[in-house]
Amino acid sequence: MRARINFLAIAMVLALWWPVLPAAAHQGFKVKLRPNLVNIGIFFGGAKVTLKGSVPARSQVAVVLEGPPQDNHFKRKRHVMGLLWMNQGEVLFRHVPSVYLVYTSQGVSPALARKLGFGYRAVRHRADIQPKEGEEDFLFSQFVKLKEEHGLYHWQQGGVRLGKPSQGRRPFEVKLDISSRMPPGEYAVQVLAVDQNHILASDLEHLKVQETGLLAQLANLSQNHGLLYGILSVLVAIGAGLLMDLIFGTKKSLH
Amino acid sequence: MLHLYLPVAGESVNILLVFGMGGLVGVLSGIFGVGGGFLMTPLLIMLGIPPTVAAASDSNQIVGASTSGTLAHYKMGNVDFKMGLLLLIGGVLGSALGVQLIKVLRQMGNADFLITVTYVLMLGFVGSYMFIESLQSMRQKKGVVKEVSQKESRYSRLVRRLPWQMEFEKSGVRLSVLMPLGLGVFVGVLAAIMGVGGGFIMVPVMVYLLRMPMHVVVGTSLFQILFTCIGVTIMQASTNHTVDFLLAVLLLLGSTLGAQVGAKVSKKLKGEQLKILLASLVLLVMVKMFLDLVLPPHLLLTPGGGH
Repeated sequence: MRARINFLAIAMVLALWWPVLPAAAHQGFKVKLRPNLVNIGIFFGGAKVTLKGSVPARSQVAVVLEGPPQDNHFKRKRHVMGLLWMNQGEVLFRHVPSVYLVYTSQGVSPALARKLGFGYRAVRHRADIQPKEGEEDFLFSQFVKLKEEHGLYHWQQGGVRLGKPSQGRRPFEVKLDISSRMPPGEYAVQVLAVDQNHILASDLEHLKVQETGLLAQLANLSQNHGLLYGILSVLVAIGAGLLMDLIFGTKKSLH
Repeated sequence: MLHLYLPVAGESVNILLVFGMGGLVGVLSGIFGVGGGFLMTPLLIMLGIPPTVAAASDSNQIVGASTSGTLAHYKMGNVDFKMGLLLLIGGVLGSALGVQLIKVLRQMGNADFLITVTYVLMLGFVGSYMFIESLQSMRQKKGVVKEVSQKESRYSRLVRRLPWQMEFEKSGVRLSVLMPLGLGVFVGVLAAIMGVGGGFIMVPVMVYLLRMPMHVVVGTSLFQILFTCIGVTIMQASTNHTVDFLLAVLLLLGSTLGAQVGAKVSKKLKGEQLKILLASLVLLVMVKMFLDLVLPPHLLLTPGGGH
């Protein structure tokens, strides 16, 4: 089921990008994502993956890592009676990517990204924000701030380092931050070679994030066998309490 | 930095930080007989753990800490099982009632507002009352003449008139069975509304309304909390899938150790000292919550909702 959703997500990302891609998009474009599989183990605290490649000599580079679209529910804080800040009402963001990381070379500004159809404005354009009360743009900026704090949205102009051109090609390298909050799944990594007006070439890589070993078993037990998981959790907790008492506890006093 | 990945929370935390937090709350739990949920859950949320996972995993770790704490207090002769059991029965009935009440409040639309205001008012009332009362009794011991108020004696007369009186040897009091049962229901309702174990309300109830000695209060409260949290953990794990076992284990390692230290510290402190310290702690949490209510928040969106 998850694989099917991931496939659909990648297909959707491709469909969204298709109109802006030139016909010879993949010609002469070399990129390599290493590693393209991130394993989440018990001591996982985030990871870095490196994307290397080369583009036509006069182009700039943008890299967009995008997660599958999802619906996000939030509570909205309001100033009640001019005195207290309380959660009042809910806000729903539909069709927003779970993860959206953008790294560009120095020459790609947010304005250029907007013109070429990627970046936060493009995400805003796709998002359906409810309720519609005329403050959708403000709420979207709050949404992006929250996601950025969680390491799930990121914009870094200058994050892609360009090398010296040689024989009509230019090497580039970027290190992508994989936050420990990134949910397991498959992510599309779109690499774009651009000039001031067009996308000159593009390539698509995939990054897989997955839980492994004991962690995967625990996640499965918690989701699919909740009662057993709960009872085991309680037994382990009682066991730990008894063990601590055995190690550090005092003997029974006579009163 | 050494990290631990939490599969249910879906993020990693610093091992030493969470272990230290568990230890600190464990010490407080051992000293005062409170589960520490009213401290630990906000701390975990500050670390970025989703609120529902923070509260459920905290219940799981309280099971361990209160097992260790109850045993330590039992060995010191500080657990009144008869009283604890009656409070527990009342508490379970009260929680069921409270959960239904919350459903009605949510349908009315202003549940969050009422929950937070109840929380701040309860913390403020309990903290201030305990603080003032403990200060007065400390002064009385230093030679100030004791004043017996009319209100107190009226309360005592009322309690004596209630049917089904029973001797609670460990606590050294004679009370109607209805008292611990009724007060258990009262605390259960409040705890369910506020989403906490209720230790910080139960302790003052035992001290001031059941007139139990402070040291027996601590042990008995821990005994009662143990069973409440076993129920909450199993319920949360089976229905909401919000118990993060690895987070609970990490907190447990710190808190069970802390609870042992706390129980020993508690033995060295006098009843009034214990009460005034707990009162200060409760007031501190109240001030923090009050400031959260009146100061402009950093972001106007909080994850959640969609119910």
